[in-house]
Amino acid sequence: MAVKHKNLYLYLTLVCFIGIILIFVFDGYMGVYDTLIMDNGQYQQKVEADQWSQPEKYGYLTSTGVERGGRIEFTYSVENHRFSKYTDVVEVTLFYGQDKLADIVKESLAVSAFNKSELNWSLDSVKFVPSDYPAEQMYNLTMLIKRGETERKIMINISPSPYGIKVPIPAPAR
Amino acid sequence: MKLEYVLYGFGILFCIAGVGYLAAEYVKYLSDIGKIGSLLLTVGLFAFLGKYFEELGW
Repeated sequence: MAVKHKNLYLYLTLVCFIGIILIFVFDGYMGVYDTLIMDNGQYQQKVEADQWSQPEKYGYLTSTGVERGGRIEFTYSVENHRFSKYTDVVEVTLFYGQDKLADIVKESLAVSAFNKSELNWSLDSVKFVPSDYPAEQMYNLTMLIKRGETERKIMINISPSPYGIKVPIPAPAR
Repeated sequence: MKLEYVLYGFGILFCIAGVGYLAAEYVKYLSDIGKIGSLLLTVGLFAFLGKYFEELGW
């Protein structure tokens, strides 16, 4: 009987330890996580949720590059690991220095519990680089993704194209 | 024989220090409810462990 009693305390200790581990795992999983995929036509870049929260750990600001005349496709996904529905407005704005260039996206996002939702948009570099901007110079833009109180900043480096600027020519009317 | 116990002691100490460090790093990212839950379970863990050793006659 005494042996059983001794083991009972040991088992309770183990239960507490397993409980702490379970809290760590469960708490880490719960929350709202956002991921951004940037595709400039040459390579795809994925920015995970933990990368946003620790820029100092990775030592650089999130950035992508494209040749002048190119296009970048963005896929912004929000995963809701909570028991309630998540609703917020996502705003994507483009800046050149401190000057606001354009509002790219402004959409309400609703994600049901333990589900995922995506927003897609593209950025055509031709539209944002001024025509009189020196062709041999790099043009740097900042894209700000605002979701509620969360802000994500992405640097967009538009490099000069070695093949000249690709401006799409509309087909002549028949 | 005694040297073995000293080595065991060092091993246990390093284990506790390592686990403690990892836990402290992880606790930073826990929610408030998670922190309270972990704290209560930690108190329970040491209380039961103490009780276990007490029963053993330590």
